[in-house]
Amino acid sequence: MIGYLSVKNIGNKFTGGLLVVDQNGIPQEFKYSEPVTPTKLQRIIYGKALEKYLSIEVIAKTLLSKSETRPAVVLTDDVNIVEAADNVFHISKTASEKEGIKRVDEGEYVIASPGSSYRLMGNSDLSEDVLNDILSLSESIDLLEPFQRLQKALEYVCSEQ
Amino acid sequence: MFRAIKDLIETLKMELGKINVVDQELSISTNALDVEMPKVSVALAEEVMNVNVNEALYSPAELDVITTSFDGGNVKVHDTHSFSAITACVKNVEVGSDNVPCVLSVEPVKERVYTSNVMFHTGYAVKLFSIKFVSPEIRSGENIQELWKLTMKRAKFVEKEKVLSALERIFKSYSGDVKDLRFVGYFKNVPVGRAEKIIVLNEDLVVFLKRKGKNLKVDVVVVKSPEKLMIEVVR
Repeated sequence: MIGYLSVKNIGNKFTGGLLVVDQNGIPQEFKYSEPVTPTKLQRIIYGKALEKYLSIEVIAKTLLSKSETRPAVVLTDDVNIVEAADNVFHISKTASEKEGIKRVDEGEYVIASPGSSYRLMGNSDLSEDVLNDILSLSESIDLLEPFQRLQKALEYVCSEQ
Repeated sequence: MFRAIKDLIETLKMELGKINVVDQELSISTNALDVEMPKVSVALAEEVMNVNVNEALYSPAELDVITTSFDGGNVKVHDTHSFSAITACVKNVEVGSDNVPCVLSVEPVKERVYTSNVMFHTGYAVKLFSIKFVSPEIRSGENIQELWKLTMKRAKFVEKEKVLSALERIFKSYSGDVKDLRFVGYFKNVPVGRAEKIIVLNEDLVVFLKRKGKNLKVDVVVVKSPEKLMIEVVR
């Protein structure tokens, strides 16, 4: 199972979601945080660090600690959130590479399946099993597609508040 | 004015010759008026501050925190675009990653805050307030419908023979004019065992997933006729 973690600022409300999918991209777990609206005083005191602090310390770490399925790897679309845990990796599309898994550097990989290549960056190395799981999922779905579902789900959560 | 007086004296000296003139610096003293600036008392209870001070003085986007002053027991919040500032006594600071204050309780120090030509007194109400963020409630949301719509892109690489064979089967089974058929794409690993409904949206295949079902995935060719969507499994 692979986790997808995203924190969004929707209408000045910060909310995050953790979607865990199986090898077919089918949801196994979805946890979201109640939206947090910083006060003006908090915005002043935290200054430019506010968004990063809220994303990592307040929302991402709380979401990860409450996960029941505990995925071996969690992918995120925000490079800052990589700091939340060792198994959190930023994922982005990259230029086409030779199919397969390539270790670029410590905690950095390129995973290429037919038609799509992705760059993963984190703070530690991933096991071969986990890398193969990601490669396998990339052959079934666009690895960034679950972020679209997360975004829509979080927009729904905020609209309901 | 000084110049005019000096010129006058010089002229007199030249004209009268014998008059002794003491060369003396002239001075003018001015009693400047002490202008009292308009005073606004601002109680720094959090709710008052939010309404009066912040909105009047600060635009949060332009503010920055001088973090280095935390150790000294004071935190200064500066607006870099004007002279306005708040000084507050830090009661408790816990620093998290990247030296970001994660728990900060501050108490305003009695002092004056100037901005433009308006002076504010702060610190009349010495009330502790905290900017600590409470961990948000975490909820489960597996029932949110948006999570169960799997959007699949067309495969960029196709197995030509298999796709042609699937297309041939579609053409044979179609009773209308094959010119009306439009090829949508070849999609790999479609979870048909969990599909409740399949539609085509912007050239993508959107699979509405069921909560339960068989773990069955197939590669399919999708063709659109004027009446319906035709999906043929690639064997």
